Amino acid sequence: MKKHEMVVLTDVSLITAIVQRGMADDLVTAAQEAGAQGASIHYSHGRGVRERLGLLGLAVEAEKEVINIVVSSDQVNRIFRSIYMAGNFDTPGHGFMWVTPVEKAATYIPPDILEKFSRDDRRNPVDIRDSEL
Amino acid sequence: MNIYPDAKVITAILPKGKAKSLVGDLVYGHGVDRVNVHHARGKGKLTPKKHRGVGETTEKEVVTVIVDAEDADELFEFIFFRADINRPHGGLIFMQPTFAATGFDLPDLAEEQ
Repeated sequence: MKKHEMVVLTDVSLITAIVQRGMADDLVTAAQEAGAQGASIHYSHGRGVRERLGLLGLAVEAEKEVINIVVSSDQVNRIFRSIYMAGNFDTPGHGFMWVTPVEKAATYIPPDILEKFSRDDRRNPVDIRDSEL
Repeated sequence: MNIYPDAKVITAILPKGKAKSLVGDLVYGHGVDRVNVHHARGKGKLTPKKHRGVGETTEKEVVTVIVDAEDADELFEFIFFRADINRPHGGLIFMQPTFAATGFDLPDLAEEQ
């Protein structure tokens, strides 16, 4: 691949999940098993249901981990469901997650994968542009 | 109140050490003033051991900028090449729409030395 070339991916979505501290790695593993390539994780401090639960709120960790995963749109439902099940999101206080649209994304794509995309996918999901830089 | 109805959020997840100089170029070279940087850890399927930090993860810097829609594509491309994303383990950049965004206006103050 030439250095000044950008492969723009358009059919992608961003899954964001906020979970109790210490849970993120297991959820990312579940997402990867469902097809995700990787994730970024950072810490945050949450408020909300913990205060409303009164004494029971002590069981909810205030320190949170925020997981961001960019996935292709045709995989988003499967990966979302996989994270939901792994994180027990139906249990109060375990966390919450959402999907937001991504207009476009770009990263390094190995030439062999790029070639496979171009050959196999009739929808041509990648837009290859030479930069003027 | 200054509201920008069609702003874009550009997020770049970069290897550690890339953010500072990029932000400098964005702020002083392109006039971008809505910039945030935070640290994160990355967990990738394909990350070989030599690119990892302690354990299974790599340290990342996440740069988030809010830009006007008409500048978004140009800045997206600028960040992509300036941060050297186009190489193995170079990171990821993505752009999202917003419904509304504010400006970030500061008074004229002398630069801190």
